[in-house]
Amino acid sequence: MVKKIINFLFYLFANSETYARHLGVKIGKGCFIATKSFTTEPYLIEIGDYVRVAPRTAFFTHGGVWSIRKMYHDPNIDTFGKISIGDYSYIGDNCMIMPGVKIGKNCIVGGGSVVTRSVPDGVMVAGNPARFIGYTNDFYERVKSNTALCCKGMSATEKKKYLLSLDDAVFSHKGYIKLP
Amino acid sequence: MGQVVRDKYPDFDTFGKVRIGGYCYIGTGSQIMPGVTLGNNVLVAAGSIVTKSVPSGFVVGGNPAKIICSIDDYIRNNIDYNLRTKDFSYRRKQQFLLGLPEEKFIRKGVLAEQNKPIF
Repeated sequence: MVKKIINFLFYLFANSETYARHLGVKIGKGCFIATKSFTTEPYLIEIGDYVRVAPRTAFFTHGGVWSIRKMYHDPNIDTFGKISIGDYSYIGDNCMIMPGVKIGKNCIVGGGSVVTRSVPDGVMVAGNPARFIGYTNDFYERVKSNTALCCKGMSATEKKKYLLSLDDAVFSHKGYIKLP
Repeated sequence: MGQVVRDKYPDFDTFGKVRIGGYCYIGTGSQIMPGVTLGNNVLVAAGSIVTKSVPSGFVVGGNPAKIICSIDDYIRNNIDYNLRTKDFSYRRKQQFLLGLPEEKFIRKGVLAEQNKPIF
């Protein structure tokens, strides 16, 4: 009970990374963790160095057997899977990482993805279920070539003024969806 | 979703009943659309968008939700990972789980890399 209250205070007042470490998630150096949604087995999650986890992403290390316990009168049935995330990987907003998933080094997981398979090094995935969409290297090469959008050390006001002064063409544009 | 046609038909309004059978499990963040009926013993994977009815005894997942396997297959695939920790205390479970070899945990296979990146 006391433990629960302490955990809740951490949940309310600590930043996400401190909260995660308090729960027992293994986290490397230089990470930026913005979610507080870990499971009841946080000690099964391992995060490498320089990993970014965006807000509202949830980790799952168990699940799916609640009804099966009742249906088959087998109240003890229980399965778990460990989660690991390699160095320099980026997990977008609102993702779900399923039990047993191993995300490699230098991966990008697009926002809203449900990751149900392990992801090899240097690969970008997105969707539900998450599918291969490209290589991180290609993404880097493409973004690097567009130097017009570099505003990393500017203040918010300078950035606004600068971005609004730019031509439409320098921004990234999405093509139209395919019609049936 | 009537809003989109209400300039032509101001009183446009549609509903669908949602029915969920016995012994169903609906994972975190799933959305069940109007008119969907889930049979008995259906497992909806986390984050699924269920746009069609699901017959009894299936596991569905994805957006839009598709049949992944039967419940019996699901149990067959997972029964080797059954760790029976349900009545353990938090501390005992933590010590038990951290002391187990990797083979006792679910491990997901690596996702297929298609030839052509789509992004």
